[in-house]
Amino acid sequence: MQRLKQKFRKWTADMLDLPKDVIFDLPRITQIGNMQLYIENHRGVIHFTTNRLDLKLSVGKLEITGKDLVIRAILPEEVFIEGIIEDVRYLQGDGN
Amino acid sequence: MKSHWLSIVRGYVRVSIRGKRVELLINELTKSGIEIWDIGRTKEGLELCVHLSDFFKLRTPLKKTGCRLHVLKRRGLPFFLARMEQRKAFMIGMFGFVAAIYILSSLIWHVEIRIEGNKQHALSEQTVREAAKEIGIYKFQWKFRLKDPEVMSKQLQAALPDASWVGIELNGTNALIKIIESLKPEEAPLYNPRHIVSASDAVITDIIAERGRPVVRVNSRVQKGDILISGIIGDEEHQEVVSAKGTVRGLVWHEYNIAVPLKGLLKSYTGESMTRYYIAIGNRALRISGFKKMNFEHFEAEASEKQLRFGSWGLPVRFVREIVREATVKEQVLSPEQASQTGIEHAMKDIESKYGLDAVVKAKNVLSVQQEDGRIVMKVMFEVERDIAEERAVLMEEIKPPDQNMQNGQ
Repeated sequence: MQRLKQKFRKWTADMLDLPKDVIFDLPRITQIGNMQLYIENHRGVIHFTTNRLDLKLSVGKLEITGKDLVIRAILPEEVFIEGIIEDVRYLQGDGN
Repeated sequence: MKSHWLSIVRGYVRVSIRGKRVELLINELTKSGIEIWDIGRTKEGLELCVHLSDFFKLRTPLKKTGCRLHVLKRRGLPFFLARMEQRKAFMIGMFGFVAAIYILSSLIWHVEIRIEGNKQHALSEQTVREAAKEIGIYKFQWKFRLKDPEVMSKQLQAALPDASWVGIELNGTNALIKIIESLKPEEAPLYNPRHIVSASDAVITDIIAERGRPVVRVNSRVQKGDILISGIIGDEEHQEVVSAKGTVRGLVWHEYNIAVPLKGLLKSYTGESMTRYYIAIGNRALRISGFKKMNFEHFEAEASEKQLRFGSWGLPVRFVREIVREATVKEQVLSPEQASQTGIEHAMKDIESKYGLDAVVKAKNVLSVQQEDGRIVMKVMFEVERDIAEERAVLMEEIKPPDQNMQNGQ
């Protein structure tokens, strides 16, 4: 049943040419160079140090590594990060 | 992050948080709608900014996560005002200063009065100042108590009958009153009883008496001092003495002895010229251009100066432009006819300048022409028609009954 729902959603998204983040509750990540990172649709902070920031997502998590990371602003679903961003890893289905 | 300025107005604090479960704290804070920003990680925990209004809401999430809080900085208007409250005297001084500037700038500090076209000096600055004071323009008057400049200028004009126009301008703390004085016709001077007499021997050509009794007629011959228009009118019983007035024109003869040299020097420009420039300080000049050798035998130099300026300051340095024009000197030889012609012209100019433009040369009569020592010497008689009226007081003896009322004609 769950899979059927998922398939239907994918089909409608393709048919109506809708952005995937709206349909699948996925994060939208905007990165400006290696200096700024803007993430919409996160589910909270898992881990935060100056070198690393882990964000919980609806499915899986996002691992950001870099130097001098600062959370410039944070809202329940959005986060704006500044610093020297070196790596953004998307881990799916890791749970946690 | 919202507008930075708004945060400053609302006031915010930067706090350091010590604890282990800081990630949980961030999630708690965002979930409970507390706005936090500029979150940095330290060894003990976090450093973050929070609005002053949210500061006291931090307690519950902090307790929940077992973190402790320490304020680092206080920023924004609420903190500034709190600090200012402690320095009351300073604040009073500051507001006092602003108020004093405002109050002092809303006073009239100077009333300037400019009277223009003041030929007759009927208006003195003092009278204008007093009239202005009446309508409320005086030193140390409040500007807001003054009426509209147009209204005031009308009032002031009503108060000053000798002013034909009054303008009032307010420039900052200065009031400028401009007045144009009305030109009144000159009051006619009072005349004494008098006659019009002849200024020289003449033959009358025209006589018009405005007041008084004409005694002579056209074509009558008069001598110098003869009464032309009498100031005594009326018959023997009813006599009145007036100040005679009128115009009398007559033919007068003038004899001129004229001498004109036959040779003269005439200076004229050839059209050749050169320009030299100098820079002058005081009375010393340094030539800066026009070094070409000048081979003019006769010349005339004309210099025009220009003061150098820097903004509104005049520098002590002047810039001098000198134009040197070549001239030739010619010897002019006149024929006797030309010479006598110029002599007569000079004499006629002289008549015109002596007796005014109404003087008309009716005829001229060359009595003798002689040539001596390179000159023409002539004797010419001019017959000139001109105004011959002259005034003379009425003498007491001329008035027949001595007990008659003397009336001043005006």
